[in-house]
Amino acid sequence: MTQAPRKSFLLILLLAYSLIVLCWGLVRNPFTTAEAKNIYIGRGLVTDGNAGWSGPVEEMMNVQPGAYSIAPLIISGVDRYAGLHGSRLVSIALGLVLVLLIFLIGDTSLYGKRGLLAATTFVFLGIPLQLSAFATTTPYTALFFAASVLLIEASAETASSGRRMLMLLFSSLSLTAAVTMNYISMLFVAPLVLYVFLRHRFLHAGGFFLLPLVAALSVYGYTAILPVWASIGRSLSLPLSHSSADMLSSLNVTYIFNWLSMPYLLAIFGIFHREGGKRAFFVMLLSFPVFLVNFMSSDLNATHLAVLLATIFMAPAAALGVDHMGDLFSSHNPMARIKPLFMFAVLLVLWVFGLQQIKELNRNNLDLTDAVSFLRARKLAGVTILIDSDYGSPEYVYRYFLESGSPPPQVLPVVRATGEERKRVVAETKPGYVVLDDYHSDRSFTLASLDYLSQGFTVAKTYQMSLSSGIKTVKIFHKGVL
Amino acid sequence: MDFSNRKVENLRRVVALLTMFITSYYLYWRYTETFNPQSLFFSWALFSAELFGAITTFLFFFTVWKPKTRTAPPSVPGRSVDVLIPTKNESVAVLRKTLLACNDLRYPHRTLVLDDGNRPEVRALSEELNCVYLARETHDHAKAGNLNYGLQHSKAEFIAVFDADHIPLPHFIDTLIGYFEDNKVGFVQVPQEFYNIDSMQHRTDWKKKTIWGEQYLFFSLIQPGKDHWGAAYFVGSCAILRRKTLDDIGGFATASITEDMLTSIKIHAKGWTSVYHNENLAFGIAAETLKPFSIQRQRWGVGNWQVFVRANPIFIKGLTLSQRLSYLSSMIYPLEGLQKLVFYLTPPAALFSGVLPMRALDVNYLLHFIPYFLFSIFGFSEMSRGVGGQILLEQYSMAKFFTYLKTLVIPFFPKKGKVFKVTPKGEEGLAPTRTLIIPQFVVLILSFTAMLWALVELLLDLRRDSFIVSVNCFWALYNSGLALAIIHFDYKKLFQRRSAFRIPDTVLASYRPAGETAASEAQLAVLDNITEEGIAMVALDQIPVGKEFEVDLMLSKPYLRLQCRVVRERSMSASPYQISHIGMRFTNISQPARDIISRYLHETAVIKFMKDYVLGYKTYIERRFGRKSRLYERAARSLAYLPVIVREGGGRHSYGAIKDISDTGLLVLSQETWALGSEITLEIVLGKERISMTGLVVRMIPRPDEIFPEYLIGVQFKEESGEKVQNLIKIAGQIGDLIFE
Repeated sequence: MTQAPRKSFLLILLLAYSLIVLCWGLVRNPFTTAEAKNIYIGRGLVTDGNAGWSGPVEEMMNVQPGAYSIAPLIISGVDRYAGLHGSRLVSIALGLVLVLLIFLIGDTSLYGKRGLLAATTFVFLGIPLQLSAFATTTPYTALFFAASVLLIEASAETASSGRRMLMLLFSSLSLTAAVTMNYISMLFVAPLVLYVFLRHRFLHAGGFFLLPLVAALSVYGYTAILPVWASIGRSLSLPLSHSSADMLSSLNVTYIFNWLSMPYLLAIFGIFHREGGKRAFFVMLLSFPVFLVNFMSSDLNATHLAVLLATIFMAPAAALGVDHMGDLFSSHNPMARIKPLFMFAVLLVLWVFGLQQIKELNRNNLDLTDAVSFLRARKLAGVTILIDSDYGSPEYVYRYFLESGSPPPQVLPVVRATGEERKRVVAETKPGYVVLDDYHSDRSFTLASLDYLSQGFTVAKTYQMSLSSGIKTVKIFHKGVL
Repeated sequence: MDFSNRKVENLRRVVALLTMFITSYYLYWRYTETFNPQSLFFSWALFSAELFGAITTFLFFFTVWKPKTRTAPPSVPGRSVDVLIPTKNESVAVLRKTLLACNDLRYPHRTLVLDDGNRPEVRALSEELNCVYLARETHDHAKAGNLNYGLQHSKAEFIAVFDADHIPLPHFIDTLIGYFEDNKVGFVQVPQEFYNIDSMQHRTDWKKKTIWGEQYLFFSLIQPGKDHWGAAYFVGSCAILRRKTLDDIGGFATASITEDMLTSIKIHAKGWTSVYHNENLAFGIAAETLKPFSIQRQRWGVGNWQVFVRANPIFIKGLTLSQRLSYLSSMIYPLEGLQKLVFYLTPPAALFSGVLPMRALDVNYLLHFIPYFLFSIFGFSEMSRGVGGQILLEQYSMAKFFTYLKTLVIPFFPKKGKVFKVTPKGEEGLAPTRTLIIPQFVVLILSFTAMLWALVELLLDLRRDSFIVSVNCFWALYNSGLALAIIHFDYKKLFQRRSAFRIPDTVLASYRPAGETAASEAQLAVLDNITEEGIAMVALDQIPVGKEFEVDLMLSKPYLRLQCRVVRERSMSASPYQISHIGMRFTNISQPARDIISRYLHETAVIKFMKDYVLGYKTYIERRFGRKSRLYERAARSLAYLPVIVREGGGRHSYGAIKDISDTGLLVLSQETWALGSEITLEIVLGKERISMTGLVVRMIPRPDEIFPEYLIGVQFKEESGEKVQNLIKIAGQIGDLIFE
């Protein structure tokens, strides 16, 4: 088999592997709060044209800031006709296209035609691909972002000045689309602009990338951000003033380290690559804004997206690292087969690491199946269920699963409440069931349990859930006769 | 090596200082914050290995802080010099080359062969070559004792010492004797260079013409660095010593099997100075395989410990502080065996046990480790001035670690390993020993097994430390690669067919079938390498293995006529020609003819080919801030190995060999000179065809040699030669492919 068909064959194999991993995620991953929120936003857009968001705006901003009209519409629309798996299948298709885009970015001569290695590294890293198995805005944003990066790379290789300018224009529009999909992409706007200015002539970069970008982002800002600016301000200041959110922020930093440690490690090796070392170093520097994500949002999904975008940016640099490791580990041995052997070994390590990362990612997602099954088996018509949680917004998951009842139960959140607040909420809503979790703060969980017990609730069910932070407990309280 | 660019050198020193600062901080932080209380032994082991690395790095930076460059003073006539050649079991063939070269030394001298093997054949050789033969009845104190025995029979003012395999160039003494005009100079040392650049100690890219030598760092940088501190030391060969100095210290030191270092310490302690002249003036045979390499390094290691115990440079009287530090840095390196053992065993230990030699491999650790690591690499690369070759040095550390470990144990045994063992040379040195690569095999197998073990554990969810496993896997892979490289190199040597190194050279020859007397049957061809046993030749002809030929080597007139048999043939079709690369062995070669070839190879050809090869690389600072070399618009050149007949207007003609060819011209090697600017006709011989082209002589570089004169002539093509040139370049490319296949 000659070089080109072999490359195509290996790419098809890689895509097939990616599909298997994504489908595995589709079936195995529990329904996440982010997915539930997107579905509800989408539904709301159709029913009342007002984003359909009943929760605090700052929470909405974390999930779907600004642009409420594209991804959630698709997610909820497909969910309506094909269920959750249908929505996830759309994301999977986008994920496969993303792998292809990474291949094309890496296959530019700037990275020494290492597209296959870049795509393999990206896929084997685990987390970036797995994030495409969820019906959230992440795969949509990543797709536009990757397209923008690809267009920048491709434009630098184009001899025709006209095509170059057109590519830069589309790149800027694609980046705008990514930002409108999820404002977290803003993190990488400045590095990309800098990158374009370094790669292109000033006039081209300014006129066909920066100017359209500024114009499009201004329109976006004026129409989408400005009306909710006050809420965004609250959203930005909230994590800094709340101790629990501080903890979440530090946890997110840990996640960033966990998930980006490998791409960075590989990229560091890439710095020593004979052909692309400088480029790897440069790309690595430009990816550092990922560590600022906590200033924009303390939500784990924001961290996920930032990590994914940084990985898209760095995958070719990491591929250079794998290539250099092949050289380094083969110790410049003249035997022709040694280098591929060592590269294979590096990729094997990466593959196992990636699988572990996927498991770790899944441990971060709350698997509420047991609690939902328990509640579904109860008579819930007209009953109010309080979801007392210190993490995320699990009430949307409960709402989604319990909405088939007639009339459906009212599912209300109690977020990081004090004892007094709990008493007030219980008095006002008179819940039949309270679902209490202790995902992060064991002490408050004990106190909260006592709060509910003192108000006449009894423990109806206790579940244990394995999260990355350890074994966690979910308690369902009930008042009255079961 | 150029150390004269102050800007570059100062920047390098800044990098060195930064590296030392960052390393010190890192080690302080490691010591105070990172020890794993669950595995203190493991923590201490890794920390000690890192600490040792830092100490040797600091000592290295100190040594090479300001390397000294010297220009040889004018020669001084009328001094008496004796050349001492100690020998024990080296073959007569190896010794013969050295003695022939000693006889060719221009400066008046006597050559004394000190035979500790008491061999009649060496006595006969010495008598044949008019050298003084001396053999002791007892053989106390090995090489040092032998040299001292030679001193007893010498009254010369100066003593030149060469190992039996070290072949001096004719101007060796002339170049160095002037240094002794300074009465304080005790000895003058030059690098120990080796001509067999496919040895265990070398990594050669034949096509790119680059060489890396394991000892280049020492001879081209560390010794000049030591010279700056007045601590360049005698390395046992390729040196001239003042007799008075030797008498002052009681002769060559006998208390260690590394008599050279101990002798140097004693000389410096007595206040004598030393000179390191960084020019290759002698060429020897480097350790061919792991066996002689290990024997040599074990001897050095054990000898160093003997010196450390018996004449410790830290405590001995008379040395300056910088001399003490310089000697110390050259003495503690066998501890590297222990350091590397820790580095090789840490990844498998962590992968098998899940226990780390530090508290955590987390972001905090990486934030400290990565700057330290990057600066260590950068600092070393800069301060080693482009001859370091970190990965290759690591490979050699892998090759040596077990030998060095043995040197830590041997001093505790009464006799074992403490006797002087001569490094096997020539064919003897080619014997591979599989048992020597067992330690590398152990590292390889252990690393791979540990890696697979940990990966399977991760897959089965028996552990979750995926990042720690990955990092240790990468480290284990790195160690495996080093081990594999050494194993592969040793394995390759098992199948090495040559008995002596084939010196690359471009020499014109004519050949005709044996027994043919007709001049018309003679064909021109170009040789690409030569030994005393045979030649390799490029010919546009089909020549079967076994066929006998009469070959005229056109080294100098009269040409050397030799009977040859084809023993190897590789060919490729380059339509319409058949290009062959032919190996021929001499049959019935006379000793005088062999001697002529030997003298040509080791006194002329070796200098030519070493000049063609690039040693070292430009470091980052040098590339960025160094002097920009003047760039000439030069077309890409292809090695050609084609014969050419050059005709000048007046009907004069001569023969030459095309060295390389480009779009615009070619470079011809000829024994005759051509006037610059003259128009010439080139008849390029392609088998039985000749292609005629015209050109102008634009360069003429003489290579002065009394016996084998040669000129490098640059010819620029005239415009009309275009298509012919492209054809020739194509053929040249194919010849290159065939030779370097």
